[in-house]
Amino acid sequence: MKRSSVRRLAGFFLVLVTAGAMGLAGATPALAAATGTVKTAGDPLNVRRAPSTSSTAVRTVANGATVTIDCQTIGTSVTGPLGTTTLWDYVPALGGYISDGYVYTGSDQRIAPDCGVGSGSAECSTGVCAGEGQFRSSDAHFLVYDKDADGKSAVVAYWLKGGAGPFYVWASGGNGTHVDKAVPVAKGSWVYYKVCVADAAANPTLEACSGGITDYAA
Amino acid sequence: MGQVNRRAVLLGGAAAVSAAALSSTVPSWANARTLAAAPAIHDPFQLGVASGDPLPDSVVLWTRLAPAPLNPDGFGGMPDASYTVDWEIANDQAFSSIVQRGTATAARASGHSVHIEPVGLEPGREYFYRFKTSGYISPVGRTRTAPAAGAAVNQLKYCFSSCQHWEEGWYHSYKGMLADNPELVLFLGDYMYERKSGRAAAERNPRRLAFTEDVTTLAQYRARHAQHKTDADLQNAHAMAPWIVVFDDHEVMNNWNGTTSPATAERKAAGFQAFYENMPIRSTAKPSGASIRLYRQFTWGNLARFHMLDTRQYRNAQVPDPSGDAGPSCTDMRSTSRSILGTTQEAWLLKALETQPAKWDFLGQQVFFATRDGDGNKATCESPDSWQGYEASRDRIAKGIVDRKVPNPIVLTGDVHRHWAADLRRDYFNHSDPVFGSELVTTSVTSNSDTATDPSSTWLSNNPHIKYCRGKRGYVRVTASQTQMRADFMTVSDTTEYDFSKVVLAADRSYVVEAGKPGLQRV
Repeated sequence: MKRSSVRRLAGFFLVLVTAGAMGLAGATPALAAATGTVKTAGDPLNVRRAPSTSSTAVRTVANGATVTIDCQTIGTSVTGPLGTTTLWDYVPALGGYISDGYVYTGSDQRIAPDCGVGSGSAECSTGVCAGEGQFRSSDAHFLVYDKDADGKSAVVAYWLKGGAGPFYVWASGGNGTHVDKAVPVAKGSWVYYKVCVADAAANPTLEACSGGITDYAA
Repeated sequence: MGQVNRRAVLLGGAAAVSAAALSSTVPSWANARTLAAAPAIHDPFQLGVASGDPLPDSVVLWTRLAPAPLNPDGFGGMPDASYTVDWEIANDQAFSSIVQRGTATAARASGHSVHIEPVGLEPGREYFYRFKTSGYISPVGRTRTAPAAGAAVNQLKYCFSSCQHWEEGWYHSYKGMLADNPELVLFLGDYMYERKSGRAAAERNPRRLAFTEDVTTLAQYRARHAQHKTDADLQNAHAMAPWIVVFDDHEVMNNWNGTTSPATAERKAAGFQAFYENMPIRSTAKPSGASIRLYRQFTWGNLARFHMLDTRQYRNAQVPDPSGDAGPSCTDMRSTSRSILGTTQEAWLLKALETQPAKWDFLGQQVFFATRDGDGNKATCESPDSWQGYEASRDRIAKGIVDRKVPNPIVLTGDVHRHWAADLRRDYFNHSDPVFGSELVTTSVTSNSDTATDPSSTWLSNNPHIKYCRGKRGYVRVTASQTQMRADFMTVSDTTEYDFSKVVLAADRSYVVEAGKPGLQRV
């Protein structure tokens, strides 16, 4: 076959229509964020990289602080001053997740969308969170953390628009090390990823994989 | 959270739902589950657009909203709300001349799929279509209506394919179809696979599924369909022309049949629902539990008629195929009480064949029609999953074709992951029995045949009606006219290689059948 004709025809269908009655799509929408107030017995509250009590505490936030919650997700169960819940709130300004059991939102229900809204996200591998993986939406980077001396690497496996994957980002430097790698996710496009542990290989046997989440490059 | 509410905490999800429904103080986001206030989403057109089932005045337009197509819950990242979707059909790709427009609702219960069935279109011509929702516009699709019934049609070019395990290769075949620019595409089953690749040469798989277990629930079938549909080549091929799609076994599970074993009614219902949601098929094919009406006919003026068959849903259970030399029971495979189509569909097909409004009758279906018998010994049998496993049923169709003097019957087949070309006779053990038609079997788009070996010369001498077999990936391109039908068996040199510039895609073998003169002639 003539490849040039393939390209020409393919291009025909890839053209984005910019005229006509429907008009153009706007910018990425602002997915509804919400606010809450941190409520503890008085101590500062741990902010976790991923929605798990086994995940790394990246900083703390003071009792009484007002936080902007971009999204919510299900993680480990926590009992706080406001009750017992598996709900975690993602606060980009704090760089991580806080248990909803410590956040007064005026509701026991969801007050923000499911996580993966284009402002970043993270997951732990299952069990002791031997691997942590974080997607930074602002510049489409994966940060992968090896947190356990189990002899295995932490790895993010990810899939992209167009029908390819998984690709891998490995943290193979041993317990306590991490990597920070740019990935080719176009602005506004999606990436689906899971955080696992594995022996680094071309076709690895992935273990203890997280549930998987879709996020977007900002 | 709100203030401590022990009851809500203990009762969990169920209490939460009813509380949300009843409370007047729920937050604005949680309460915004109306059409007007559906939550904002990212670009939901990640599965592309498609059209299908063309009639002279109508063609189905399809999309499914899925901003996060691989989410394992099957909802594709769509919030629990209904979304308004606008659609447009135009004469031109720039949509400067709109023919029809309308609005539909994409609901969570149907996986936010959209099936538009416009009426009043003109026959035998091209249209363009697109969708819009939440501020996003879909890619543009091109489609076509069928020519009017009886209209004089000189030529039809269509392609057909089958068997596209997502893990086992790149869909280069669809780049070939795009260049061929056919008016129509037929897909003959195994659009998606319910299970991960089990191939011998696993190292040749260029991609891996996100969810690796066998899919059994509606959520899982939806997510698996979505992963297949993320493929850019597949999306381009759907946007190019209308498709007519039937399923085979893997859209539900390997080798299912009309009984509840191996696939239960629940599993069939889940597979059917996800299939309907993800295919450009008509609302007449909307499933009802473990029942879906998929067999149907299409006519292309006075040139071609397509009888799209369902050889899965109504078939008797396959005759067991024991290991060792014994093989399946010939007596059972030839039992006159067994059917691969079921009584109703057999009668429907035979009734339609009483008249021949078009030159060519194509039977678009799943499994091998002609006999393949390696030892040439009628006393031993093989391939119980194919039509020869339902030999009496097959002969009722073959006899019906001969008795009705159907002049140009061509069976189109998928399933077996190799190209085959065969002539059809009533008795394959009598090598001088008259040929009444031919069969074109397309290989897979990706699904492997790693362990298959080419037929030996002995094998071929025992099966002289079989003209060709090629264990490569590809598709078949058919060009039909009033005087002949030409089939080009297209092959792809490598589906592991991503770079298409390093891939050779070409016609490996071509045959023609002259109208009124049954039998394949090599070009």
